[in-house]
Amino acid sequence: MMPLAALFASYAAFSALCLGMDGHHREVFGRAPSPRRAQWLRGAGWLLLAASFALAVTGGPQGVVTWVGMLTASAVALVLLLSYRPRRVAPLGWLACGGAALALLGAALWH
Amino acid sequence: MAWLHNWAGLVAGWLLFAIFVTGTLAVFRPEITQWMRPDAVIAPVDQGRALDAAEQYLRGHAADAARWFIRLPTARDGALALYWAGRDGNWHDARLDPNTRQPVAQRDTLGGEFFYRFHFELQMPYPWGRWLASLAGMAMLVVLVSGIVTHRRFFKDFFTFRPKKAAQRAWLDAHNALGVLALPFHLVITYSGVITLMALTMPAALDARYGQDSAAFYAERGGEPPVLAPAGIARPLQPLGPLADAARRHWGDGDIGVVVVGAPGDANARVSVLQTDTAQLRIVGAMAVFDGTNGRLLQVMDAPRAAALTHDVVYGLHTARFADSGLRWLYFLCGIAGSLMIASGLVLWTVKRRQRDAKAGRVGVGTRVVEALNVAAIAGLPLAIAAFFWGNRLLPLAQPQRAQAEVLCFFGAWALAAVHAALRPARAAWPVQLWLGAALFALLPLVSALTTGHWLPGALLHGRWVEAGFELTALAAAAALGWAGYKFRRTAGRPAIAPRDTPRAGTRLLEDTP
Repeated sequence: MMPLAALFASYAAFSALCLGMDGHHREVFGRAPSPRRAQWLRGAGWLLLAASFALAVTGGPQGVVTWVGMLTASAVALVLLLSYRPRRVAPLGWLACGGAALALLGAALWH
Repeated sequence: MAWLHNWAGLVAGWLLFAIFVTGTLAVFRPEITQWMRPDAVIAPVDQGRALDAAEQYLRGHAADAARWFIRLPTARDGALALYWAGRDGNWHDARLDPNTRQPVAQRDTLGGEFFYRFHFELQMPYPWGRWLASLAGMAMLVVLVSGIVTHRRFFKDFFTFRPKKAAQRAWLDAHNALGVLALPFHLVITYSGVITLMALTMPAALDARYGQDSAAFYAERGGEPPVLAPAGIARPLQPLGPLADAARRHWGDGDIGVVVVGAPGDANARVSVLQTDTAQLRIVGAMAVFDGTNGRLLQVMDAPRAAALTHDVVYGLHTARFADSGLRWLYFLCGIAGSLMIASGLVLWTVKRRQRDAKAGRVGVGTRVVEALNVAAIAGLPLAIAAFFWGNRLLPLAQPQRAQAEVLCFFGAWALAAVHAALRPARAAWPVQLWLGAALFALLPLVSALTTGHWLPGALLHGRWVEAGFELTALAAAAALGWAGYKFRRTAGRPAIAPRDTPRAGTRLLEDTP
């Protein structure tokens, strides 16, 4: 459950970081973000990335290696989505947030 | 730096593509082997019983050997692998079913071992293949670092991929995205790959300190099972089971990977019990060494010193034996990303060159040669891999030298692909070879079902996950190759100039290729 939460969190993190950039925000929403919105997205992105790492570390050294692989997998998935289905980027980002929370809840209940 | 990146990448690229693809397959070495040996199913057995079976077989068949090497069954490979060196130094081997204690009746094949070996030996005699692979790895490091320096908009273009733009833009985006997004993998796998062969390529420090006696270095470094020369005095060997149990207690009852017995039946017998290599990042786990004549524990090696530990962890990160199935798939996907990065770099070179040629009004011979080699190396390799798997299913089981015949299928198909690429213009050769590869992979589950009676839906229903995973991956490869062929065909109409000097360029290519 923890690795799954880390994977969702890293995907959500990259979604936020990506939408925090003017060009990509325009591709998805048709306009540049307000400075506050961009700042908020970037902040959330870095926070989620840190959270993802914290979740992965619970898996020990192998968890850290897995986390690096997850970063690549989630970033590649996001880039493909952004290129071919840009309008799905925001909903799937939120979905990943929800998925991370659910997986975390599942892990907590499991114990 | 761009110059260095372009030319070093071009020269090493074809070889690196093959190294990356076979290395990616080697992540699933036991699983590929299992698919390629469909004849016998081995029921899982506990390690104690397996060790008993090994001991009984070796005492019966190799009592006077210089060394026994016993690899116990794992979750990924149920067979018991035995190797022993005779007093004459020749190695022998047997694969046993630990339940029946008999050799497994299986078709003769190298299985996934072929890709693993090719990955760093390139089917060349020792040490030339290893040298070449190592040089390619060093070139890869140069190409990676120069690529990072060349890529000015590293963070700005982090998520950028515009497939609908002009060919050069789209290829460059793909190349950058594949490089940047999987960069941690590329750097670690390349650096660690070079490290795995460092004793061969950078022996100066060892030579200065130990001269020709490299065994002394490994003994001092620790981690190598000790093997003493026989004293010539016969002494019965202690039963291995209790020694293995004693060793296991030192690492909290974890699994055993390998048991090595030096000079069995001699006064100098040594029994080394090694922890499984799946339990920690480093390539070797703990080891306990016993005197084989009286069962006394001589030493336990668990905590290597800093330098050795660093080496072992870097090595372990490369082979990923510690990885669970999820992480293995991540390694596999990152390996594909690396292969595609190299392939896109090679294609990009010709796309740029085409534009320059279009301005000059004629297609250069160099462009043609690179294009043909690109087709042969990038589209021909999947074809060869598929042919290897077809050979495994279609060659008669009784054929002598069957495993070598399978390898011949691989190189035969690859050579034909190279000839085809040399004779046909690239824009025609790309889709043909990609589609042929797609067809071979797509039909693989069918060929397997017709020849072995195991079919994919049955594997899925009965939870034979390795078989199902292999064949689903083959279907995914078919889909990807088919899609790539379609893309190449659609964009092939665009080049400004059609190559008219094709046949002559083709014959030239054959002279130019070593």
